[in-house]
Amino acid sequence: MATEFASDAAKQPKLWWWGAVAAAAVILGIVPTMTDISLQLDLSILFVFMLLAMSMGFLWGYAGILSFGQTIFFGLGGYAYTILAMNMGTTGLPFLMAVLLPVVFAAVLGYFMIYGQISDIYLSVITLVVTLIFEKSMRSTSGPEYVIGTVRLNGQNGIPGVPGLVLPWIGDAPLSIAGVFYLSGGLVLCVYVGLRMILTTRFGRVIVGIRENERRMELLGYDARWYKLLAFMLAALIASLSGVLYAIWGNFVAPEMFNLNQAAQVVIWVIVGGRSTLIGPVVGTGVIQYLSNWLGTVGVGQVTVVLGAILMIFVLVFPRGLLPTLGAAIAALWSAKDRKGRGK
Amino acid sequence: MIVTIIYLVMYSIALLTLISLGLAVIFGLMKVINLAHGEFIMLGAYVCVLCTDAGLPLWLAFLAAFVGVGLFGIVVERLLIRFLYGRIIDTLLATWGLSLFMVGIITTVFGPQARSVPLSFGNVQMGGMSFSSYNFVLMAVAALMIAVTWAILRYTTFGLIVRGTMQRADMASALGVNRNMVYMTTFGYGAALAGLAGAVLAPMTGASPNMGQFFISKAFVTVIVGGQLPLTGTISASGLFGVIDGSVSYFWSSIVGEVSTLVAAVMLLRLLPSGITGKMRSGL
Amino acid sequence: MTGLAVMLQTTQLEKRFGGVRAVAGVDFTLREGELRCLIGPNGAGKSTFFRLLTGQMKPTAGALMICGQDVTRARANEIAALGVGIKNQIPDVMNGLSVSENLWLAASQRFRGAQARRAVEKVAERLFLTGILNRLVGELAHGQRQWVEIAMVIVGEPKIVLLDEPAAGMSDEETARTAELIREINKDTTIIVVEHDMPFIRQIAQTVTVFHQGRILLEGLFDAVVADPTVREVYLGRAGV
Repeated sequence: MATEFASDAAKQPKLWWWGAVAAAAVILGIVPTMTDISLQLDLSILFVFMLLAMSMGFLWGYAGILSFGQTIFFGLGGYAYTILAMNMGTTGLPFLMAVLLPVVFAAVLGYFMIYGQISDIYLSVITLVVTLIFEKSMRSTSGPEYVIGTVRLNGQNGIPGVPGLVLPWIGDAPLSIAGVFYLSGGLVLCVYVGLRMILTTRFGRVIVGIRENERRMELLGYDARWYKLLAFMLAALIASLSGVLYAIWGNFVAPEMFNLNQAAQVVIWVIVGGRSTLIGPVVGTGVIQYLSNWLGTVGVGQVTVVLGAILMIFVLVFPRGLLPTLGAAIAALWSAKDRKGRGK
Repeated sequence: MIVTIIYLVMYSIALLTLISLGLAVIFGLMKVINLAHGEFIMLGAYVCVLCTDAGLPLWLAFLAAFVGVGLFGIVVERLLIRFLYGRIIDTLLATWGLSLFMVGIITTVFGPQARSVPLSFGNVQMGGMSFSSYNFVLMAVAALMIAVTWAILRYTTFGLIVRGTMQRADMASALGVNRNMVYMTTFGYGAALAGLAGAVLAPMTGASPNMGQFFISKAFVTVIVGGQLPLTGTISASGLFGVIDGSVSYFWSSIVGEVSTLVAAVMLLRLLPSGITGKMRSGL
Repeated sequence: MTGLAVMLQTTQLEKRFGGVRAVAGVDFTLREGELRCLIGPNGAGKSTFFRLLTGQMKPTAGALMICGQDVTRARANEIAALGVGIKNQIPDVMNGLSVSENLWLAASQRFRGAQARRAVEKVAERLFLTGILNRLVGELAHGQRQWVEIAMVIVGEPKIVLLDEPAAGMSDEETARTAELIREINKDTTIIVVEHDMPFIRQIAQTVTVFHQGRILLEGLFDAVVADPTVREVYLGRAGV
């Protein structure tokens, strides 16, 4: 498994990396032809969550901004798509607008937090509070007076019957289950490659520099606030994309998209996978979702007990996460073997 | 109407103080934000429910919650927090893990449904409206919490040490003050205040595993906007947000009150990034 | 010398911390091409003065002009963009990144693409960093990190360079090299240096400004300043030179 340590990330990826991406694309392409619908559904939602995890992992690992509230943009994206698509009767334009609308909100929220230069923990806590308040607000909209256009918000019951995405070049019918699979899996791959490419650009290197030493970057003439705001908006874009896909996948949105458990899960995916790599949050999502499902089927009771324990243990014992820890262990083994070999 | 608004504002201030002070003490003195604060409140509510179920009088249930959750806080500090001093972000994450863990455990033990305290209180007529007289108990406890915390910090040796550690952690430990002991006690006291808050709330809200969530957003906003000084910060931020929350809730709804509190907080932080007391160098 | 353009000027610049005036009304003028040394006992306000000049702190009173622009209220990055580079007292670099990435970030504020890469190569050669370009800065020795930081400051070809104790923690040989380098940079850059090391100052300085209790005590040529009885009393006498 690839471990990209911070200082390697700015370099262009190697050939084997492109090979791995191509292999992943091929596997993605053939999976629906060989599997049944339920597995495709499970994998699709996994992809949706992977996008959400990547949005937080990128922001935290590379820009050094710990947002606990990526679920703000996840939920806003989902609700925006639902309300726009149900009102407009089409889905293409609502899709685009729903992905961009949360970014506008991120710009406003980010402006106040980042240009106000509040401390890191304040930012984490404020984002958490914002997502909580969104959840509460959405829950309080159960009355018939809460209508946007023709759509009733329905409070905690959520909005069912979210229209599927119609892609004009594919046909008039909404995306099939396999179609949603291709779309979400393809987007995971695209966002992964895209973020990897961004890290090689001037913008990518500058945000990593700011993470390392914000004052020095300012003294070199970079306006750190502007770059951090851009990174915050980029992460919001990925999270809202994930939210829109969530709505399309389940044909349903509900206040749970904003809630504390959802927000906590994102944090756990990223912590477990490891934030210092782009692939870490993706793997973490897979591991934790698999574990949660398995715990659910075994019936050990409260999954949150296990998730809470995992979060505490990782912070205490493996703060860097699975992949970097594994990577370091392999590197240590390798060099030990090396030394032995030379000793003989 | 004026009476009603004044009452609502006073009640909002008291409620904010009640749910925030424990968090503010821990944050102000240790620079740790305890994301499991809501669950400490929840635990206090359960202690209160269990005690009243066992037939104990309410004041004894309050005391039990204060002591019980305080001891629990000390255990948490020893097993979790003390490994993470100086790693502020990690404390945040670990206490979030603790929060999930506690919600899960309590749900497993007591079930997801709410438990209530079988006590009833009379109503008070005021300005043509009636209010539960229990709300005055709540206000009294909030005032008592402020007074006791102030007295401890101002007049006891422990308070002196804590104030010294707050100002200059390095200096205090150079003087032979056992910083571990100070942090452990501070965390325990903050937890105890949260437990007491939960017990006081229990007769109104009952006790349920997820109840912490309903309070933490207000508590976090109050503490962050209050800034580093636990008492001055909590009182001033509670005062400010009590007025906003109380009056907006009167004219619109409590959820609008909460949203406007948050909006006001975010705007205020743009001007005062480290909170109302962020620039103050001394005080409580 | 007085005919040359004023690069940097402060008028009654002041910084208060509570009741303490760390910088207490400083009138300071720096002309193009100067190599000025700031000396003074610890706590004289030199480092605070540097932070004010670079926008790391905002003055509580007075004004700051750089290259003819009023930058009293400007942010650090805006002052840097005018062509002011600073090396802080403690190595202040991106420890988690390689030497080449550090230099590239410094260069690419001024240059783009291949030009930035060429600037990095040039400065690395000039400061003998070519062999360690791929090392992480955090792994380097203190002296090497100082060199990396100096390289970061000059790679963007600033107009004014501020060096806060450039020779601190360096060996005698490194110190001599640093002095030589500073004289070389001075050929096309205006420089202010804060230093304690008097032999080092003797090697580089033309004009010396003495700070004492947040004010300028005296300004003049090195030999005249060293000979001044007041200066000897407040600073040099105690420093034992």
